[in-house]
Amino acid sequence: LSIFGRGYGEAICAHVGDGEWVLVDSCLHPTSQAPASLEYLTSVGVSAAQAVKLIVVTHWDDDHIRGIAKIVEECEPARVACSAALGREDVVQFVVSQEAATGAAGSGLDELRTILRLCSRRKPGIIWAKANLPLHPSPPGESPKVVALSPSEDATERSVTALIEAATHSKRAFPRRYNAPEGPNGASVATSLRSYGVSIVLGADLELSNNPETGWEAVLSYSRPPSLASLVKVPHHGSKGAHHDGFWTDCVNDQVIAILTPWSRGARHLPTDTDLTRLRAVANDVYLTAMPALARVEVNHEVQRLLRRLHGDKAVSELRGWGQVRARRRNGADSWEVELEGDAVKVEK
Amino acid sequence: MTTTTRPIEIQGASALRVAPWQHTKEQWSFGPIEAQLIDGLDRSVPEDILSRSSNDEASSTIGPQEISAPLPGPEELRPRDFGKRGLTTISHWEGVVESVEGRTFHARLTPFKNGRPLPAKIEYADFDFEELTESDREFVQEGAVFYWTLGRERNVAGTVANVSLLRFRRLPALSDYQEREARSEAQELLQALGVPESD
Repeated sequence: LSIFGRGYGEAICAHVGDGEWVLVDSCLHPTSQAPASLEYLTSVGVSAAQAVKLIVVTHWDDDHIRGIAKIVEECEPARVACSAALGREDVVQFVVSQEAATGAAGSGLDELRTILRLCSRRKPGIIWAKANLPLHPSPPGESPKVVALSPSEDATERSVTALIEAATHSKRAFPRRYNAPEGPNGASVATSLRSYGVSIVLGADLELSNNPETGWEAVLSYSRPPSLASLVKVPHHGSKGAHHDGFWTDCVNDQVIAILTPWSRGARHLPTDTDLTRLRAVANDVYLTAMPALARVEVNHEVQRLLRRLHGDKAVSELRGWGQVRARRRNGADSWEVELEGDAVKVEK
Repeated sequence: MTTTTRPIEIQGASALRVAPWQHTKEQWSFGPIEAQLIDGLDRSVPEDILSRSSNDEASSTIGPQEISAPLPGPEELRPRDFGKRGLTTISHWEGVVESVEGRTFHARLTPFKNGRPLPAKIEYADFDFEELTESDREFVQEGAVFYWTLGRERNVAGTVANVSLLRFRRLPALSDYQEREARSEAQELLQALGVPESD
């Protein structure tokens, strides 16, 4: 399992055995601008078009979806799983209608629209993921290797309502993201990977909720993984709002390793030191794909001069940091071998 | 609104500028009420046609009329002279408002190079509301898209000035047609993709 991340963006490549790969979310490599997962598969000699069996789009936030349309396009035989919250006429209509509002830099909605159009021309279409639904392989058949843990039925309904409200009340400069309380994160697709007796939980951006029918409360009540996980992709960049004590006591084993990607919004970032301390208390080992760092953009002399003259000391900062955490486990082994690439770090106790 | 062809009295206008058939109370702007007053009227028009006119005063617009007021000639449109006006872009970004705090907003920027966005590059900057035009300030909300251009502007006289242009994107409301098209495509997509099953 490989997790890529920077201060803004997350992608996961998982080998679930028998040469089958599952890709979850996508982000772009900062230098090549290509989807990180595709680059990685090529680098390890895997033909993505043949080996990728499932692509999971956990939710439609910009930091989880960049480049995923390209992945879907290249991996034509793969099935695509999206949150069931998207499979409503109102929502799809909104996604389609925003085509005219597309900025040159693109957005998560653009990726989503492309995916829907690509999948509509393919068989068997799309998997509308919701809690307890097997995603791969499709039933009937062998026991599922990938099962959705969320969204719950209730979260789906709430997310749809919130999204439509946000769309209806958006001002003329349309928002690209929806910040409704039960928005994308509430309907994101957390998954459980089960292969050769090993269990992994990929937490997406699923957060806690005051409502027991949604978020991690609903996972613990209705879709708890059948076996204890030995590896967890920490939900929502390790934020306090996504940390459920019950999950870490009841759903993971005592050797669990936690991997997380950072998230940065200028001066605000996740995980905080408090988040890392909390995670270190519940996981055996904690790894971070990169320590996000903001550095002043190196601009040419002319731009620098203009900035100084017109904006005084205004700084344009650039997000630095890019890394990969690769966890491998041989069949029958009882522990993970973890390798770090780029700016990835092990969070020391 | 009252619709009338009655001549309007214009304060200060010379009576000489009023058309001859607008002189008396008995006449109207569409012509004299007495058919025989108009030269060239087809005398073969039976009198009863005039009397059947819906006009209470039995006047009619049948027959030729002359407009004595001179028609304005065609206006000559000259090409506008923009002189040496122009903008040379030095640097350009597309931004998304990430957060708003008081009179400042924080934005994520995608830089452009040679007119093309570099979506894998993520940059940030803070802006004050004072850097925006009055009309753009209402657009500042989380998720709103704007454009930031640094460059050199040359005015009509050829004077060069450094400029920093911040413009928020404006989008027209969707037309009924666009909404119908979007709904129709959404229905087609969902038909092809399959609607999620409910529990």
